[in-house]
Amino acid sequence: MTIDMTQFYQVFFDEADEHLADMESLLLELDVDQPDLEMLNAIFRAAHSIKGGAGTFGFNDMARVTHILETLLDRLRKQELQPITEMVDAFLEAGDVLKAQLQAHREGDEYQDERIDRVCTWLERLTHGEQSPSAAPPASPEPSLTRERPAEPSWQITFDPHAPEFKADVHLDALADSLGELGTLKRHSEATGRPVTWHLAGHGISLADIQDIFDFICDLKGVQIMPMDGATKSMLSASDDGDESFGFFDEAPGAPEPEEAEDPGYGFFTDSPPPPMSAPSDHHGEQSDSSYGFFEDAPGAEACHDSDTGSYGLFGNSPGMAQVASQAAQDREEDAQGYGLFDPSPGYPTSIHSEDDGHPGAPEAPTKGGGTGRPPPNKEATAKAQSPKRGPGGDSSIRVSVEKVDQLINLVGELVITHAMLAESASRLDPVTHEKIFSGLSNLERNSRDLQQSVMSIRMMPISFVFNRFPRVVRDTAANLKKKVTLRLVGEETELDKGLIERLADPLNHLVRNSIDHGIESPEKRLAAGKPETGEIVLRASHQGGNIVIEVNDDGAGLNREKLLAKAAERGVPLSDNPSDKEVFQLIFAAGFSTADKVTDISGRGVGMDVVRRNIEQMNGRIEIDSAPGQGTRITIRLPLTLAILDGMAVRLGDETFILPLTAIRESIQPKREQFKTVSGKGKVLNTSGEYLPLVMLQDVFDMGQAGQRLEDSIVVIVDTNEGRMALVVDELMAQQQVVIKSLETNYRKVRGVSGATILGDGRVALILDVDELVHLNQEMQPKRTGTSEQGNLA
Amino acid sequence: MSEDLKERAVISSDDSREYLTFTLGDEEYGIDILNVQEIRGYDAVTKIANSPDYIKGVINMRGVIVPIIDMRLKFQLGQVEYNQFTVVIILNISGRVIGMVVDGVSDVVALKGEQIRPAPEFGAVLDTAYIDGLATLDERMVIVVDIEKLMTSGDMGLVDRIQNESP
Repeated sequence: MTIDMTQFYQVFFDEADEHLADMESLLLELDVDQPDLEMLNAIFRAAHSIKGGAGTFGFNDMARVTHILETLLDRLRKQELQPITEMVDAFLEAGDVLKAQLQAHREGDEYQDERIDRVCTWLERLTHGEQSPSAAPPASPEPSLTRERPAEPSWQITFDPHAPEFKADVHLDALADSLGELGTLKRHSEATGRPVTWHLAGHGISLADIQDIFDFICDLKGVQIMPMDGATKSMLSASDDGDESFGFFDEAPGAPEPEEAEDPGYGFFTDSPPPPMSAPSDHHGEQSDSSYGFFEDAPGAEACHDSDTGSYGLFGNSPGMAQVASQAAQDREEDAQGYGLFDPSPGYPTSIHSEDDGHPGAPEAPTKGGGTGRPPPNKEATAKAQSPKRGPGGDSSIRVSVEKVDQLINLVGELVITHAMLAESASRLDPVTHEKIFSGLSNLERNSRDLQQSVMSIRMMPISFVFNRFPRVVRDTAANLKKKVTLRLVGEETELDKGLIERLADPLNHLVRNSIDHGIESPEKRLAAGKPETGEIVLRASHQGGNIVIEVNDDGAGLNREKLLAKAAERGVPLSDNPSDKEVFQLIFAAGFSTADKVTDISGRGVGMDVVRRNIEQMNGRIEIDSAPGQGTRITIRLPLTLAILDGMAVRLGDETFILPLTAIRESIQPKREQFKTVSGKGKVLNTSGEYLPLVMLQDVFDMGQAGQRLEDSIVVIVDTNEGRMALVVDELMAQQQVVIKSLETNYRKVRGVSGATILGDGRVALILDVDELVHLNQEMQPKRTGTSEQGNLA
Repeated sequence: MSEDLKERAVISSDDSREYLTFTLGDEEYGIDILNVQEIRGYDAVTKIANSPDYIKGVINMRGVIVPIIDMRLKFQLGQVEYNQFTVVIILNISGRVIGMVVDGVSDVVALKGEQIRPAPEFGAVLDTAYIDGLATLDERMVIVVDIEKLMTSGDMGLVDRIQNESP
């Protein structure tokens, strides 16, 4: 079982690359004197998306820079600040830093340079409306303004600079300088080879500030930050965090023994091959008070460390969860049995373990107690050889642009058509004298069919590729907000187009985070409302009537209609006098509309839902919200199949061939005459097994002129639509076939009742029917039809 | 590509451009040849529901779905019949591929800027808004059409809401 952790990273890297490129080109276009608001919004969205992705994958350094970037951009787009050229410079510089960080992560490393801090400070200063005296960013910024209150809380920081978590080139002096910017630093006990204890005193220093600094040079696990006197409060909250999300770990500190591997929670590792490395060493052993984690290159070996409860708080920030998610995915795909252990709650946050983020720069920190009891083969040499570099790992797959795949599909389609023509010409030949031609043709047919199938399958992927990143998102977000949330995934095997999968990740990310932040209530509130303490979020995917439907359900408080209305009034959003719930709920998709009381780094800027809606609309999809106060919210995304390949039924109507999505078809029947009924003023219905279904005459709806065929000679296809079932009258069912969906809009425009077009084997174009639209078209037809002499057909 | 550039260079040096001329009824029209992708015969089309009659439908052109407009129907001109002599000009209008049925394709001519006179308000079948000007060629009058403007106009109903969307 090979575990390819890189597959999800790759998606993020490429997405982030695109976003950065977008951001840069927009910045370069931006006219500082007359900024285009839409452009600022676009830049903001790019930064926001990078932040979201970076947070999801645990690239906290990037998330930090983008967060600061975003804060400034937010003020700009709300027109609280006037853009100046210096800001554009700062943004570009930040973009460069992000690119460098991205590149470093690509290679499995972490980028560290003083320029990160420089840019952050520069941006922060700009956010507060200051201009720097010179265009160049200050090399060593003055302490921030906000830190001037009495009562000096102080922190004790303990770490071992020689521990493996640390980058090899950490300079204690540089570190001390950075910390010194926060407050007064006292350095103690710096004997070589020993943990270092420093005291940091200053106003308004939060745990996060210190963590941020350490985050750049090492894994937070290697650092213990303890509050002394004044800082106790925030420390406590941090450890709460840890308790909550790592309830599982409660027993762990006491029992960091190998037996843990036998714990059902580790089920998915039990089938792993023997640990490829373990390499305990005394030197590392000294670290045993500080870290706990899995290592991506040692699936079977976990390193457990005794740890003070307090330091678990740091795990909230520890990166690498995506790997666990991907590992779970891998298991799912490759080893259904191993996965079975997880079945009851595949996404249950507490079943996810913290994991080392596998920076190769920070070699694995295996310990005495860490192995699974199996003797590690050839300790340190193996450890080195196994040291992960993400970059070269990408060779198991290549990223190909969708256009290239489309081109391939087109070419294969042409090939199939050419074959059909050849076969047609050859059919006039004498099979006996031309035996070779015929066998060649049948070979060609088989090969091109296989080719077509393989090419088409390139584009299809199970939606689990997106879903699997959410256990981590849910866990982190919930921990951050001190909420208890479980995640349930349904229909992960639903296949959809790769293009859609990639574009779904961002919007779903926003929706899930929103659900946790605004939907699910705090445990106390939930208990008070008589609900279970732990909230549940369900991600569900399915094919429905030719659409792909993805739902994000939560059992939280639901949307607050009054609050939304008040907010709308406050912002001057026009609304009808007595708006329906749907209308009110749609408000949350308006740009800049947020009901969050305060802006957090999770949500609340009112940008998320705006991005979601745009993304979905770009995919020609729809998004709907249902909500019941106190019961929860359901957000439904419907995506059409514009990008996908469709299993369809070719039906004939007059001279034309149409494709009906197979997913929409329930059954086809040859009706008897007495099954047709007329409802006065409402057109015709079909009586089938006691039900009366509206009858849709495609000839009439599409205005194709009078078809000669009598109703009772026709075939009626019963299809599922959004509005229930209907009966579609066609002349003939031709064949079931897979078709490539092509957009009519590329060169033409949207046609009602048609979701796209495809090319048939004989080279002709067939239109793909959109049954949902057909219902609407049919309803609009009704008034017209009642006036005409339609009875002629019935009689 | 290099040839293309050279050609353009030649064109710009003597300030003339090449136009494809075609006939519609009794009138001769010219369109910028750079908008012309190819010329082909008329194939069976797939009708599009609820579209105006001059939009004949769509064809498959090497995997690309191309709408076909019959200019003769659009402007109520000429004899509308479809046979082996029916000509379709495949246009490429800012990335969109559109087929246009005309009475016949006549020639490719080079016209200098000064040869094209502004069009007076007159009763051509085309709205003057889409006419760049008139040119005289061997006693024949060629109406130079801004085909891009014409095809993307709301009049033709080829493009979705482009008119409303562009600011």
